[in-house]
Amino acid sequence: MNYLKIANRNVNRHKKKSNMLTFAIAFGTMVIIVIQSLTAGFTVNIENGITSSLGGHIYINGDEQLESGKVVSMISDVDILQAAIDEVDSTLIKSYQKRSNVSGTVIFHSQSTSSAVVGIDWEKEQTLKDNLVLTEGALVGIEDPNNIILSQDAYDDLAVDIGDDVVFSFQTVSGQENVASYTIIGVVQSNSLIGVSSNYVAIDGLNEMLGLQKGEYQSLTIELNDANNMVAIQQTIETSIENNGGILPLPQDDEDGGFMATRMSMFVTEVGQDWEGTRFTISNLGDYTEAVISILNIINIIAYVIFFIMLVITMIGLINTFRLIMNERVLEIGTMRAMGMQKKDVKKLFNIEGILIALKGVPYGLIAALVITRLASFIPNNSSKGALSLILKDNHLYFPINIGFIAFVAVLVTLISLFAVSRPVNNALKKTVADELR
Amino acid sequence: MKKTITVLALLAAITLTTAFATTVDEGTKILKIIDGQSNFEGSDFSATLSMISEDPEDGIDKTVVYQFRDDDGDKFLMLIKEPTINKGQGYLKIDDNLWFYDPSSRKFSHTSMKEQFNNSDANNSDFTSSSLLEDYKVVGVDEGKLGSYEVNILSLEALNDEVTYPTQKLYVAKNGNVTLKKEEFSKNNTLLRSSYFTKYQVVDGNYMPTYMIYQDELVEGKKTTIQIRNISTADLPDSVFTKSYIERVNN
Repeated sequence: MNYLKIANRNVNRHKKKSNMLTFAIAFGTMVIIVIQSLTAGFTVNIENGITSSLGGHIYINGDEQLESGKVVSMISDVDILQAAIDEVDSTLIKSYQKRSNVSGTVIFHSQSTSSAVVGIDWEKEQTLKDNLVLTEGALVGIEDPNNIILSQDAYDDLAVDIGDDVVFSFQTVSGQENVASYTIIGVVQSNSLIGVSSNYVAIDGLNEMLGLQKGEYQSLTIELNDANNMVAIQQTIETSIENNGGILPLPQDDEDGGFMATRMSMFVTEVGQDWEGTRFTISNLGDYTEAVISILNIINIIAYVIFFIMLVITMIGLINTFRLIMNERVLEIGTMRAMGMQKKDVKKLFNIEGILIALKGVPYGLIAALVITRLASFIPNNSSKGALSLILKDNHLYFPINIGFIAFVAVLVTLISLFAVSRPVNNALKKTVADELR
Repeated sequence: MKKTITVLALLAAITLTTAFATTVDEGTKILKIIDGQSNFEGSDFSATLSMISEDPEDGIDKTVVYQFRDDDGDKFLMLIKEPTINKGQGYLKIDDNLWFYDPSSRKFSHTSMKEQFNNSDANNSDFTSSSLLEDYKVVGVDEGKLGSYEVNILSLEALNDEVTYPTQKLYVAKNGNVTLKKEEFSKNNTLLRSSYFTKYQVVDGNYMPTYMIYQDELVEGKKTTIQIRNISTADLPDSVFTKSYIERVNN
């Protein structure tokens, strides 16, 4: 018996009811895909935002002890670090860049605000350049050591305009007061969600003001092709540094202050470790994104709850609809059985009908989801600041498409459809043929 | 003829160098006097400070602080009495360590002598003993007038790269060798802060400034005025310069 042909004919014969079922499946599929795509977009944008703000996935800071015992933030053992990076499989590394970072006060006439200034090698840091979302001004002239890209927070606090000159007051690596004057050429959104509200300048000019020698820098960040490799690569670099005679912080149990003291070593002047040269402190994206990951986990949990609720709603809708349809098709079932069809054959026929309806509904749902997400992604959100800006891509919502998830949803909805068909059919088949024909 | 000119030029150069060196030596002596006059060796020091901080953004704040100094032991304690919101906060310096105590968290945190005192324009280092001779060398001395006072203007250069201000200018009254004005410069020679010491009181033979104005030269209109009262050089118990003392006075 050609079940598929008969089932297909039945589906087409009961157009109104089939369309109702198809619509229910399509709607459920659409909602599930849109929500998953939205949360996946949030995750991708947050990870990209943090990665570009922090300069990559792995962060290497250097501390050095002066003769007085004071600890300053700088890397002068550049050869040891370079050798360690060279030991990593180069295909795993997308890029690496040297940065300098100093906290201080940005001043404009009688206004002042505490802020951090990051020195960037603009010729090499293309990722940051590409990901900077400017709310004012442009990146033209960014390589000029006298220009600054101001954070939105500082821009608002100081009530300045593009082209204004601001003064940045800070301390050199050895703790002397110094002052730099910069012209504002742009304003960048602040990533307050991760506490990053940085202003950006050219690294060479900042290094000179910080009192660093040529070739020295304060931190090196590594951007990887795959973030999943960051822990393994961090271990490779740490091992290489030790093998090449470099210094790493004492394990957390051996040093007073533990993990936080290690991470915050640039701010600590007294540590229970004496060393010569550069002490390298290495951390990765995971160390800085615990709070953000918690938020993402909450978003994902919410998404899964909504996903589950949508599945239940879809399932209940299908069961009820199938039940109504079965009530109307009891006579048809009785006729089929009177003509010699076994219960299992009838069941098989209706199951195929359920699958056909599901396979019809899923593509519609997918198309609707694609249309809605594309339309939503075109709507600009220029007023977004802070945490909201972190979940957007170029001021727009971002909906990545996950083929695997769509296939999973298709299978799941088909199974639900089968489940929804089975109960009404079983109930209908419990009756005798005479009852069904009555 | 040529030889005579060369010899004369050499003599002139030697004379000028000697004259300059003498002046710098005198400047160094003045610096030593300033350190000696500001420090209380052999006795302790206590006083009450009234600080008025003027900030164009935050307005005017008044802070009253109890100051205790043990210059021999290189210790000091600053206890904030007013405003109520900061009451009980304290800065305790023992040797090279400076601790800040916050009674709301009941915790001590490490801070730096280079930091500003309670968000004012005075630095924590302004309240400790003077060590100008240890940290700076005199690189030039000029004569001038500050108001109606004849002053020596001492140009100082840091002896190491760890002091907060790489260069300073001291306007020292010729009469009494007391500092009337101080200008502090950044590494790239930008004037960061001007300090004015407009009143002095003789305490146990030392000149103690009792009215000071610290003016931020980067933020327009930002300054802090400090008035010192109730000065005493009576001995203080060693227990005053301990963490437990700060905790005790807060209970």
